[in-house]
Order: sequence, then C-alpha cells, then structure tokens
Amino acid sequence: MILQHKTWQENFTTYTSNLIEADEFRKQNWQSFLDKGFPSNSDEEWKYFNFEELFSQTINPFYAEKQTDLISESEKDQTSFVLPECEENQIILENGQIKSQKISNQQIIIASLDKAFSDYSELKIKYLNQAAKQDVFTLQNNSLWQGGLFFYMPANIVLNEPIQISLLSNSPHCANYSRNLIIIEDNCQAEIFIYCTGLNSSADELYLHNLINQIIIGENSQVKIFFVQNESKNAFQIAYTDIKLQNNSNLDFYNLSFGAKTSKHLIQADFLGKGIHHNLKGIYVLNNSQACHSQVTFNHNKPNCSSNQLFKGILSGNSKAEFSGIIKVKEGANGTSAKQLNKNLLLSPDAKIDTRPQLEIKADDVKCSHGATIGQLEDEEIFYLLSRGISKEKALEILTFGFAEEIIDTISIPSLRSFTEQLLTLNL
Amino acid sequence: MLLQIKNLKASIKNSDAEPILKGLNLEVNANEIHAIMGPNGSGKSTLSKVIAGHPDYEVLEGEILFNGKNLLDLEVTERANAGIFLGFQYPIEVPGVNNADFLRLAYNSKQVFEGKEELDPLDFNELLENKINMLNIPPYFIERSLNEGFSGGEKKRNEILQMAILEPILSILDEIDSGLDIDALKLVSESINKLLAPHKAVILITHYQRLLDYIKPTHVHIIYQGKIVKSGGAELALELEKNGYAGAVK
Ligand SMILES: Nc1ncnc2c1ncn2[C@@H]1O[C@H](COP(=O)(O)OP(=O)(O)OP(=O)(O)O)[C@@H](O)[C@H]1O
Ligand SMILES: [Mg+2]
Repeated sequence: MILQHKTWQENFTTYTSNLIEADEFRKQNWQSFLDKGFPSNSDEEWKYFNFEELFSQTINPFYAEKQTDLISESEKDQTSFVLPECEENQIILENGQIKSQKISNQQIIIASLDKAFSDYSELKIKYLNQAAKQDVFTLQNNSLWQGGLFFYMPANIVLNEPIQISLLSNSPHCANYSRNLIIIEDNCQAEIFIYCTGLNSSADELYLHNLINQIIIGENSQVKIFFVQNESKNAFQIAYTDIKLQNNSNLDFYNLSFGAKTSKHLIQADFLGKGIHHNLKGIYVLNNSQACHSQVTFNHNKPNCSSNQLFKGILSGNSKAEFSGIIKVKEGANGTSAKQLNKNLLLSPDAKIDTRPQLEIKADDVKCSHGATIGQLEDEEIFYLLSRGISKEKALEILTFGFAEEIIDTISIPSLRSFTEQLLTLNL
Repeated sequence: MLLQIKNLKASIKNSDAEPILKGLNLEVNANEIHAIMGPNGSGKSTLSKVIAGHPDYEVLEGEILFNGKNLLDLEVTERANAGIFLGFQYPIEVPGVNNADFLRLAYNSKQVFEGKEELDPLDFNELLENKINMLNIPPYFIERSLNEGFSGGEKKRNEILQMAILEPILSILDEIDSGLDIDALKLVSESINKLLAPHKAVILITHYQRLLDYIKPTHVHIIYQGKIVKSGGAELALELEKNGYAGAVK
C-alpha cells in the first residue's frame, strides 16, 4: 500500500512541464502541492475517502500533449448526448478544452478561460485565485488546467432555452483538469445543464477528472444549474464548486451523481447579499463498490437569506456514501432561514453511509434545522404493491423511484427529468 | 368451488406465541357474498392477509385451495394475478408513486400475466376515466401519490378503484365500510354491487349491519378466537346486531 502510494505520488511530484514553469501562479500552486503532499484519512475532509483505491491505480498527472483528433467518428456518436432542448445551445469541452460551441443568444460570451484571462488581466486578478479552497487537488488544478471555459452572461438576459455544457473526459490512465468560470450578471434568468461523462464511457475507462466550477450569480438573477455526474464506472472525479451569490439572487442547484468509481464534490456557497434564496438538491445513486462523497459548506454572511438543502441517496451493493454538510450563519446574518436534510435508502446490507449534517450559528433570529435519515424500503409498501399483481422486481424499482421522485419531479427540463430517471434505473 | 379453506392454522412467523388462526374452515362459491364478522382481535384481518400471502404469517397446518389449486404454493404477486384481491383495512401510503401510474402498472401486470397486450398510457387513461366516472371518484384521486395524505375514507374508495381496475374473481374487503361517511358508504356499496358478477365472489369483513343493508350477503360467518364458530344466512347478522357476540359464541 505504502509503496503504491509512493509510486502514485512520484508520478505527480516528478512531473515538470513548461506549463508550470511559464506561469508564477501555476508554479506557486505546484510548489504548495509538493509541500503538502496528498492528504490522508486523518484529514477531517478526507476521513472517509478511499485513498487505497485511488493509489492502487496508475494515473499520470497530465494527459499527453496530443490533444488533437481524439474523437474518432464512431465514438462521437455514442458520447455526444445532448438534451433535445439544448440543440441550439451547447458547449462541448474535452479534457477541459472547448471543442465546439453553439449559442443562440449572441450577447453571451463564451471563450476559453486562458484566453479570457490573457485578454483581460483584471478578470484573472479578480477570479483566478478566488476559489478559496486550498486542498491538493485544487492546487493541482490551479497548476495544470488548460483551456477552461469562460461563460459570461451580461445583465438583463432572460433565456427561454436551457444551455448544455458537456465536460467530456478522454484521458485514459491520466488526470484531466476542467476549470469553468460562469458569471451571470444582474437580472438574468437561465438554466444550465452541466454534464460530466467519459468519452469512452462504454469502455469503462480509468481516468481522474479534476474539476473546478466558479459560479457567480448577480443581483436579482434567477438561475437553475443541473450538474450531472455520469463519469465512467472506473473513473475518479474530484470536483469543487464555488458559488457566490449576490443580493436577491435565486439559485437552484441540482447535484445528481450516478457515475465514477469514486467521486467527491465539494460545494461551497457564499451568501454575499441580502434576500438570497438557494436550493441545493442532491441525488446519489450508487451500486457495486462505488463511493460518493458530498461535502457542502453554506456561508450565510448576510441577513434575510434562506437556503434549503435536500440530499437523497440510494445505495446498493457494497457502495459507500458520505454526506457532510455545514451551515455557517455568521454574525449579523440575522433572519437567516436554513434547512438541511440528508435521507438515505439502503437497498443492501453491505452498503454504507456516513452522514454528518452540522450547524454553526452566530446570529440572532435564525431558523435552522438539520437532520439525516437512513432506512430501507418498507415491507408493508412492498406487500401492498405485490398484492396488486406487481412483480417484486418492479415493486422495488418503483418504490426506489418514489424515494427519488421528490427531487426528480422538480427538475424543470422535461427531457432531463426522463434522462435522470433513465440514469437512476441503470444504476440500481 | 372458488375458495376452500381447510383446517387453517397460522401464526406470526418466528414467534412462540400461540397461533392466531386455530383450525379455520371456509368455503366460498362463485356468485356468493360472504360476510365475516367477529370481535376485535379475533383474526379477521389475519385471515385475509394469509390468503393474500403476507410474509409476516406462517401457515402451520391446513390448506387453502383457489379454483382447486393450492394457493399456499404461490407468491403474493401470483395470487393477485390469479384473481385474488385484498382491500386493506389500513391501506398503505406510498409517497412518490403516482396513483395513475401505479394503477396502470398493476393493470398491465395482469395483462402480461394473462398473455394480453399492455395498454399504453393514453388508452389506459381512457379506461381509468371510465372507472372513476362510474365510481364517482374525483379526478384528484389519480393525480396524487398513492394514498399519500388521503383521508381514511378516501383510502377506502381508492381500494375500490383498484378493485374496479383489476376486476378480481375473489375480492376480500377488510372493513371497507370503516371511515366512510354516510354518503360514501352508499356510494362504495353501490360500486361493489356494480362489480359483482356470476363468476365472482366477495368476502366482506365488517363489524356493522349497515354495510349489509346495501350489499346483501348470501352467507354470514362469525369468527371467534381464530375459528369460524357459527355460520348462517343474512339473518345471522341481524341477530348479532340485536344480541351482540355473547349470545352467538357461547
Ligand atoms: N403482525 C402481527 N404481529 C403481532 N400480532 C399480530 C399481528 N397480526 C395480528 N396479530 C394479533 O393477532 C390477533 C388478530 O388480529 P387481527 O388483526 O387479525 O384481528 P381482527 O379480527 O382483524 O380485529 P379488528 O376487528 O380489530 O380489525 C390480534 O390479537 C393481533 O394483535
Ligand atoms: Mg381487522
């Protein structure tokens, strides 16, 4: 084990490239990573993470420079899944770099992030280091990301059609890095579907997708983001989403996890203004030996904001899930209302869940609640359905569906709703 | 003979407690309506669940034949598909499962079992609409999750809707009258009468004569401490109404 860990780490630590050397920010971050090394289970944040599994794989820190012609025609067909509603509005990235883009509203700016940063240095200063989290995977992303996505929606745009951003991984036995900066200015309305999958998903490719999303929502804007993680079943995904919310903005964020051997998504939302409402809904559906770690930090900094978190897990096989969520209500954030609930359905005696909802309140007049449940399907419900002539298999399926329906039902894009149901069925 | 129960003894599975059903005999033919009455805790619901195949109970002795076939060999699903329907005393709430979808699934399971075509949602909706009109059921019943938040009476009416969709051969209705208001009782009774047919039979488990005023039983049985202790015609229920169980079971 230790040996494997060493090899794995050496893969990374001996890595040098022009990319890192050429840029002071990258260099600094890489050095911090080297100083820190990989975390272990004694780190609170990584307490339940199975490093053994990650380190037992051979993963190179960077995908070889040959970034061209990666997609053969046949592969293109199987992996370019697009919601029918998004035909006219889709951005496809491969290993973090834009492959194609189509957008009906010409005011929206879509560019590679490094180009945006080099063209507008003030953007770089403002946003590059803003993602506050400093764990090793973030440091790696800071050092090695290339291309990236800059998505900018100027004020006062109301979109009637959703936009799809596909983040495709095509880096067998290598890590690839995505970095998305999504800025939505004031008084906008938008729905964004972010879809993560492996380009060769049928081949169950091994890779590591290291992903950072920075999302900034302007005043009075109403935004829905659907983040669907359907990576290859042998892949690892380490994701970090940093959300900044301004006055009276309204964000519904869906975190729907089905794929990857091991995935971790850290979601941090900062409530930077008054009157913000943020709904965070999560589903994780795991089977076999999959693991999924959901970590949420909500920083309620300002008064009169509300948030609602609902995470539902469905676990079969000997899968493992972690939910740890903390709501921090800062001094002065009076009138905060924050709810957090994690419910889990264990379909197998060998599945495991660690759930830790937490509150930290330093303000007055605050309404907060948190809780977690772990349960099985109800025998009486099963019997009721069987007694109507429904097969056992079907009964278990619809009861499991019923459990997730509370969230799936609220997905506002019809074809995404059925796609989610499809992914759920496939993963039971 | 449709249903034949011989010397049925049953207890809670994996329990040392004495059996709940202690040698029960019952015969039901097509075109008959049987009422089963008896004090609280005498084993009426247990009998109905054992017939349906509830996994909590263990049959220790005896036989249940349905159309001459050994029912105890069949899984719950197979019993239902063979034409047995249990109207629950306490119907279960199933959040997240849409009532109409559930009804279609149940209907199509039966279609498949009988080697018939499944109905697509559109065709099924037509059938469903006919049934709810016939039963005078408001449309919101089928829009909601199965029994979720339904009042006691609404749950019972939803059981009858399921019965109407599945058209079972033998319906066992466990206290279908409890929780119903006066108008609903009349409505539900009329619905049950409409669903009667010469090749079918109904077992009504009830505490009260008023249901039997609407649905006239051909046979009445009194169950006491896990056995049928007295059987008769419709007049037996009237007698019970007057004298209570004390006279009947001594
Ligand atoms: N699952 C169970 N676990 C424990 N005891 C049970 C169970 N099912 C039935 N019993 C017991 O068996 C006896 C018969 O119960 P049953 O529900 O069949 O009565 P009933 O005749 O339907 O009564 P009621 O008129 O009140 O509905 C009761 O004493 C009850 O407590
Ligand atoms: Mg009862």
